[in-house]
Amino acid sequence: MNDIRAARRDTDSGSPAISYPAGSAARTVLRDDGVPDGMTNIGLEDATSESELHPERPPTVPPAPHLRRTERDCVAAAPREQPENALPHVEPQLRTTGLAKAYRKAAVEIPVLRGVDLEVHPGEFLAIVGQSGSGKSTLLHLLGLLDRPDQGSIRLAGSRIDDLPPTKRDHLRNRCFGMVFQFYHLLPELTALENVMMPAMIATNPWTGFRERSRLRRRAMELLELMGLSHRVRHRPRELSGGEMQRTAIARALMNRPQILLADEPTGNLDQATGREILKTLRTLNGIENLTIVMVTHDPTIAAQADRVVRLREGRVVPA
Amino acid sequence: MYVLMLCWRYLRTRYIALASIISVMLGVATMIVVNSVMLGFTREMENRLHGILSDIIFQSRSLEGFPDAEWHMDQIRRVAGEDIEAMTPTVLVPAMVNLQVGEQWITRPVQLIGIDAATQGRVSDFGHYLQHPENRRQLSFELRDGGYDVRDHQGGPNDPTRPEMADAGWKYRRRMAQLRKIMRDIESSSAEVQAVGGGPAADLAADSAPVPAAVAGAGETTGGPADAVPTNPFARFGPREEEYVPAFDPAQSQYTGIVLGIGLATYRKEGRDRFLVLPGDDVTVTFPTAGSPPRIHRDYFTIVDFYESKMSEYDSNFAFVPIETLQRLRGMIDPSTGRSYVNAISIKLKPGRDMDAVRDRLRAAFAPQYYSIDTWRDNQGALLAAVHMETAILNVLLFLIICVAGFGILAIFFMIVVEKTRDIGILKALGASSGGVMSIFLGYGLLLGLVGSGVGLVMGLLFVHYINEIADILGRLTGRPVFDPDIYYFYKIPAIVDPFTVAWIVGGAMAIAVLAGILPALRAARLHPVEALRYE
Repeated sequence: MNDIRAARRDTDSGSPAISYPAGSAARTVLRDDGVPDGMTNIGLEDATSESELHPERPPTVPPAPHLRRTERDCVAAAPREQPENALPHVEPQLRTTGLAKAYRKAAVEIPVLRGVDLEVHPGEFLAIVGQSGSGKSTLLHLLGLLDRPDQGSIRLAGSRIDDLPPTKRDHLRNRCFGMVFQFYHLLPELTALENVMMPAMIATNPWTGFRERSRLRRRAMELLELMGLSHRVRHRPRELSGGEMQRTAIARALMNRPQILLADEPTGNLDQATGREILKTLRTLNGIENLTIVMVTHDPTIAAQADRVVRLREGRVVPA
Repeated sequence: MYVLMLCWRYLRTRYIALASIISVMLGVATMIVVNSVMLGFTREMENRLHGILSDIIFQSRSLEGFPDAEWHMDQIRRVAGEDIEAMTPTVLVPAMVNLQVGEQWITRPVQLIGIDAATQGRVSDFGHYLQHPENRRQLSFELRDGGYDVRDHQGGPNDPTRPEMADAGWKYRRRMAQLRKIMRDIESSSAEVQAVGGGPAADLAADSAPVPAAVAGAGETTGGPADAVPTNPFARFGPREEEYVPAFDPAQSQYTGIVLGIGLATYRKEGRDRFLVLPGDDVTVTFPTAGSPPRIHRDYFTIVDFYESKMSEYDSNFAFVPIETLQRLRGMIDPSTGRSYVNAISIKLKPGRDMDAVRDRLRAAFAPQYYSIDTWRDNQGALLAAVHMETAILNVLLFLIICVAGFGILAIFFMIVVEKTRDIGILKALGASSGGVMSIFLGYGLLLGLVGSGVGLVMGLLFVHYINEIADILGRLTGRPVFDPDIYYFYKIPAIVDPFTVAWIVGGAMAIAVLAGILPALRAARLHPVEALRYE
C-alpha cells in the first residue's frame, strides 16, 4: 500500500498531463463533496491520506442529493460483509478469486479464463497485458459485470458482486464502474454532450432527470472542458476525431463519479501520439483524482505507464 | 429519461420509420372518414325516418281497421297516458295514382294515407316536408293561390331551384282548365278525334279499362266530388265524352286535396327535379274499399302540395288525403252508428321516454292478433341494421389495414434493433437495464403510433370537414360526380364525427403500433451486452 501511495505522490508532484486551471477548482469537478469516491467505506487511513495530500482544500458546499446518491447507492448495492474477526489490513477494492469463464461454440467449450486471482487496490493504476486471446477483455467484462463468471467470485470492497441480481448489477455498472472501450462506443445519434450525460440520464428517472437537467448538463460540460473538448460539445461522434471520441468516452465514464475506471484497449484504435495523450489523461485522473484504473492492453510500452502490470497467458495470471 | 431522449432521436433520424407512420396515418384517416360518413348517413337517415314516422304506430292487422278511434285512443291513454304527447288516427291503404302528363296517363303504386290535417303535424315532422310555407305551418287540403317554394327549403344555397313551382296554385289550375277546354272544343269539332276520345277525362276512362267494369261500377258508394264517375257498368262501351266530363268547372273549384310524395310527381335530369304535375293538377286515385271482399274505388283528387322527406322510398310511395274523405270513400263509416273506422293510430311520446317500454305496455294491453304495435325503429329495423352492418364490416376491413401497417412496423423495428445492436450493448454497459432498453423500443413504437395516428387524425378530420368540396374536386377531375344526389338520399355527403369512435380508432392504432414493437423490443432487451458490443 505505502509504496503505491508514494508512487502516486511522485506522480502528483510531477507535471500533470492536463493542466488544471487552479488546483482545487478542477478537483471539485470530480469530487465536490469532500469525500474521496469509492473510499468512503475503506477506512480511516485513506481519509487522512487524502487530507494530507490536499491540506489547502477549501470547505465545499454539500452536493445536491442526486449527486451524492451515487455513492450512497454504491454502498447499498454492495452491502458490506463484516468478517468475524476484522483484520487490520486494508481490503483490496476489487478482488477476484478463481475466476473461470468458457465460451461455447457449437458443442465445443473454449475456456478463456482458467482461474484468475487478482487484487486491485484503491487508487491503483493497473495494466493487464497479454496477447490477443489471452482472456484479458473477458476478464475486464467480468469485472465490469457485463458478463457472469462460470466459476470464482468477484468482490467489490469485500462484498461479492458477481452473483447479484440483474437490477443490482445494472446499478453497479452505472454508478461504480466507468467503462472505456477500444472503439469508443459512443451513441451516434447523440451529441458529445448528450453522450457524456447518458450515464446520469440512465441513473435518473424522467422527472428528476428533467428537473436536474441543467445540473447534469453543467457537470457534463465541466467534464468535457476537462478533457479539452469544450469546442466539440454539440458535435456528433462521426464529426469527431478518434482522440476526441475517446476523450468523450472517458468523460462519459466519469459522469457518475465511478470508483473504478475499466479501460479496454483505450489506445488500441489511435495513432501513437493520440494514444499517448489519452494515456496521459488517464494517468492524471489516476494521480490527481485518485481514481482506480484497470486498463487492458496488448502493448507493453503502454502498460509500462501503469503502477502495476499483470500478465495474462492462456487464462491465467503469470508473473510479469 | 434516456428512454425518452433516444426514442425521440430515433424517430427523428430513422426516416424508414416514416413508412410505417404513413401506413398508420392512412389507416387512421380512412377509418375516421368512413366512420364519420357512415355515421352521418345513419344519423341523417334515422332523423328523416323518425321525422316521417311517429314514435309508435298502433295498427290493425286488417285493412278494414278498427272502429272508433276515440275509444282506442282513450284506451291507449289509459295504458301509457303520462308518456304520450300526441296521437292522431290514420287510415292506410294501398292504392294507385294516375297522373296526366300531356296526353299520357302515368300510373304509380302508392301508399294512400288518410290523415287528420289538424293533428298529423303533432306526431311527426310531416309539416316540415311540405312545399308551401303556409302548409308547413298548418296543413290545409285547399289549394293555395301560389307561393310554393321555388327554392328547396331543406336544401343548401347552391342547390338548383325549381322554377316550375313558381306557377303552381290556382293560377296554374285556371290556365290549365282553360287550355283543356280549348282542346276539348277543338277535338269535339273533329269527328275522327271524337271516335278515339278526347280530354283528360276520356283518357282517364281509357286508363281504367283494365279494371273490371262491374267492380268499377259497384265501387261507387257515396257521393262527393267524384260523382262524375260512371255507375253504368257498360260505360266504357257507350259514348264517353259526355259522361266523363267533370260536373264542375275546374277553373273555379277543386276536388278533395291530396298531398303527393314529390318522387311521384318528378323525375331527375341533370341533377335537377323536373315536374310531371304541379299543385293544381288533378289526379285519380284507385284503392280498395273496406269490407269483404274489398272492391275497387276510383276518385279524383287535386294536388295541393308535395311531400319531400328526401327519403326516396317515402317520397315516391306516399300520398296523403284527408282522413274523413278516405273513410267515406272506402265505406269505413258505419251508417247505423256513425262511428268511423281507422287503420292505425300514430303516437308521439314525450321527449326522453322509453319507446320500447311503452310499446311493450301497449302490446300487453291489446290483443296481438288484432293489433300490431311497433316503434318506428321496429318498422325500419332491416334498413337500419343493414347500414349498421355495413359500417361494422367496413371497420373490420379498415382495421385489418391498420394491422398490416402494424406488421410493417414490426419488420422495420426488427431492422432497427439489428442496426442498433451495438448501441444496445453500449447502453447496457453504461448500466441501462433490460427493461429500460425494452422501453426504448416500446416507447418508439408508441411514438410512431402517436405521430401516425395524430397526423391521421388531423387528416381525417380535415377530410371530413371538407368532404363535399373534396368530392366536388374529385368529380371535376374524373368527369363524373363522386356523390350523385340522384342515387343517394341526400344532396350533400353527411358526416358526423363521433369523438368516442375517433378516440377508439386512435387508441387502437396506437395499441397496434405498441404491440408490433413488443417482439423487437424483447429481442433488444435479451441481447447479451458483451456480444452486442462485439457486433459490427
